[in-house]
Amino acid sequence: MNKKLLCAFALAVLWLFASPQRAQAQYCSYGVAYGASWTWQDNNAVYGYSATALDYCAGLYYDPAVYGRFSEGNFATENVRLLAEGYTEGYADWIPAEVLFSYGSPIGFQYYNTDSIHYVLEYYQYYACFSYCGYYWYDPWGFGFTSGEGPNFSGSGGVSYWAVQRRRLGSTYHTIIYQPPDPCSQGQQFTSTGLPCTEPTPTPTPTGTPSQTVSVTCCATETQNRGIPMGNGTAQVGLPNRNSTDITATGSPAGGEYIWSTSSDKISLSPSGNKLTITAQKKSDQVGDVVINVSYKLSDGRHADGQIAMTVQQPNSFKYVATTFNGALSATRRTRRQRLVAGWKKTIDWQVMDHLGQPMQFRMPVADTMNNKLPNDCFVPRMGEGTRLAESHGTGNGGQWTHVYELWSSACVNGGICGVNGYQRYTVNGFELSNDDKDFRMQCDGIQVEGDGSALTPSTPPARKKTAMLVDQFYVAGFSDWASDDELLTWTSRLNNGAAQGQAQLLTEARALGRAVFDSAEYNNVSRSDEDFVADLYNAYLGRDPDQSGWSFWVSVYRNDPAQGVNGHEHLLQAFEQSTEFIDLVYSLEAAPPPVVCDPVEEQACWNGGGLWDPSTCFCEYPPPYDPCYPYYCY
Amino acid sequence: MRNNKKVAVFIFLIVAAVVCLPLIFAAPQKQTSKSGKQGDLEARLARKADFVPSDKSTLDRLIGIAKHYEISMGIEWIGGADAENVVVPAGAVPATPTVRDLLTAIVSRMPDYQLTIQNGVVHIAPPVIAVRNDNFLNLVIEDFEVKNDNLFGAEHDLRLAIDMTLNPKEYEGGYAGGYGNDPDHVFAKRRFSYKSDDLTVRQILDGLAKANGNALWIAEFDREDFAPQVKSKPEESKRQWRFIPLRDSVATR
Repeated sequence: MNKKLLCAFALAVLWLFASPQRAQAQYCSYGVAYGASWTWQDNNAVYGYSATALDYCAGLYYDPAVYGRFSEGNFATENVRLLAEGYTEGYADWIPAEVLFSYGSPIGFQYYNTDSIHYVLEYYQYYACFSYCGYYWYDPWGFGFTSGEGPNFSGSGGVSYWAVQRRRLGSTYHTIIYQPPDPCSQGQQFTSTGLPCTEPTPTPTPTGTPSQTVSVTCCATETQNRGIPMGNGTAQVGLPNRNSTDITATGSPAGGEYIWSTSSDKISLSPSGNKLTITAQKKSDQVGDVVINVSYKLSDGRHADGQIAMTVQQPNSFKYVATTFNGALSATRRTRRQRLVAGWKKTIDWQVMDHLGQPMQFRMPVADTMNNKLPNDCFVPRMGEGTRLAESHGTGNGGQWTHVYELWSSACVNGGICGVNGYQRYTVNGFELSNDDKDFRMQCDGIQVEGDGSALTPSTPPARKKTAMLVDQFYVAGFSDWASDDELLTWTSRLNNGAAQGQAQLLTEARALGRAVFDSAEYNNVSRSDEDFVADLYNAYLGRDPDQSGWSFWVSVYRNDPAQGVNGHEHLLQAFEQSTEFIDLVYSLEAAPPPVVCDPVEEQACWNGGGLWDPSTCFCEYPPPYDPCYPYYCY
Repeated sequence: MRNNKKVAVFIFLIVAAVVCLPLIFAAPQKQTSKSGKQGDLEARLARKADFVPSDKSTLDRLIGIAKHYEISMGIEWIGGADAENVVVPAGAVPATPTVRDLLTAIVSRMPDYQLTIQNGVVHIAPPVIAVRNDNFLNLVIEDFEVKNDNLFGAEHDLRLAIDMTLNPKEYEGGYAGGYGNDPDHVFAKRRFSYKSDDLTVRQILDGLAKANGNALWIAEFDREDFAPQVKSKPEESKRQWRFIPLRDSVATR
């Protein structure tokens, strides 16, 4: 009775482990064998169990055995991966054969399988008389008995040996789908990874498609190098100073809240949803030393975090980028009353750099002054035009600034040479970059600005004027006009020929030049004041403005001459012709042919006709019509 | 011999016709082109106004209209005046207004201001200020020329020309200086040539705006700029104007 109760109890226990369809009793001619496969999970691990057990009726001459395998994957759809396997033997009906598996890294919603092959080990003495005396079975403890089918047999059957036979009873399997642990709290519908909550029971029960994984991308910045511009004060005119920048975070799925923070004292934050306005307070000590954090939170508690390292940039210098134009300005008259001037023009692209040597890629207000050193032999004023803040449209969005440098001077005309030194000072975003004054030198034959990588041999004013320059000197002083090509060629040739014959002849020709100008009807038809006439003589004969005492003296002489019955015009011309200063100047002239000077009329006609004027060759190129690739059309 | 003469005369007439006919027809063509531009402005002003700017500032509204309808405009603006934020009642504009109606409705609400069309440009200015001799826009520049340069270069040259006109002595020897600009700005992209003789600064600004084809100009004044005996500002700061692009990008020609 007890045995039957025990057997029933064991059956009940095994029933708990094996569902009827998965655990099958396969073989036991004298009783019942039980096989079971079971798989289960516990939090973050999955377990497998394989077992074979015999009941009492199987007798002591049988032992249970089991071969178990624990695997991952769906048998129906894929090649499963064997995680572990094992084989054990039990003892009679006392101890079942059991194999236990565990796996600590299961994958969510993956199949985990336990499959078992159940055996029974059958022990017996093999006697030589088996062929006629029947089987004589022994259990492992030696209690033997006949099988009952052969002749009665007791005791020794003669020569015999122990044998064991492993008989396969059958197989079982059990599969589960691993459910990752549920970290949800009460009321939470989805886990932080987007899975529906199961325990504790969420309220309300989630419905519909599980949500996406929460993520946040931090951050879209205004500039590639993640700069924050630092401004100084408020610009009163023109473009406002830049002292802030915006960054934008993108969270997914939509609908969450962005929480911004920083521990840096170099900035202040003004959040507005996923956009953050960062205002500079102090400049950075090193690149990327300002860290901004963003936390993106959904209403169900899920969240994702991001951060970005940025740099507060204070304008500090201008870095040379490229020279986009570098060439001569041909002789021209800026206004009809002004002397002809020529010179040089250079266009340079600069990049605003910060105090850490990084480019500042913002559009910022910028102004500059051009400060020329006085005196200079180009006779240009101290202040160049520069760019006033109110006139400036600011740098480009990338922080680049194109600057045109130009020199034009009457001293450059007709192959003359002069130079002016100076410096350029920038103001960017409210900061005056006095530490980065750009020294420059502008000459008739080139311009060099500090940092532009160019080389310029400083010019020196010629000790000797060329004969063509004297022609220019007279014409400009007398007619406020440039000698025509023919006039220049004629008078230069006469002076050169005179020089070839000696100083006396040269002086004669120079005096003739003066007469050609000041005795001409063209000059005398222009109403000039007494003072202007004297100043013209100084400029023409001596190549300089009159000194005050000399000017006053000759003006008074000129005015008194008529009272003395003297022709003042002739008197003064002779005085200047015979002055030592003029004679020395003429004797010092260097005979040289006139340089090529383009005809301003031709040049104007070229521009008016839509052509491109090349001052180096005095050639006008007309663009072909309707060619989209011609540079003239393609800006 | 006589026949040879006839042939020579005939050939001469044929050659003369070939040479002269294009010249005869070229002149009217030029005239047509000029009046065509004026007609273009008139056509723009006659367009139905389907856009009404909502800016609060009157100046911004005028700029908004100029930009939307691409109208060359010159505005002389007195800062702090009653015209800053005029309100145009709904009834002041016809039911289906033209662009001209829209501009007229705004300008008529601005005390002292007047809308005129000169030099192919819509001018909005207070006549009392516009005609003053001490208004730098009335300064006559003897010679002004832009050679294949952009609007920034033209602006710089004009500032220089004004300064040279007012202070000729300073520039007797020459000039060394320069100017800067945003290389990406739409004004830096297009080059043009322009020349004028004895025109006022206002006329030159009109000419530059038209030559550029994508600009309006604004000269802003303070009333105190014209007050007697007041020297609160440097002279050059009273001579400020700015160009504003009608379109932020320009098509490649």
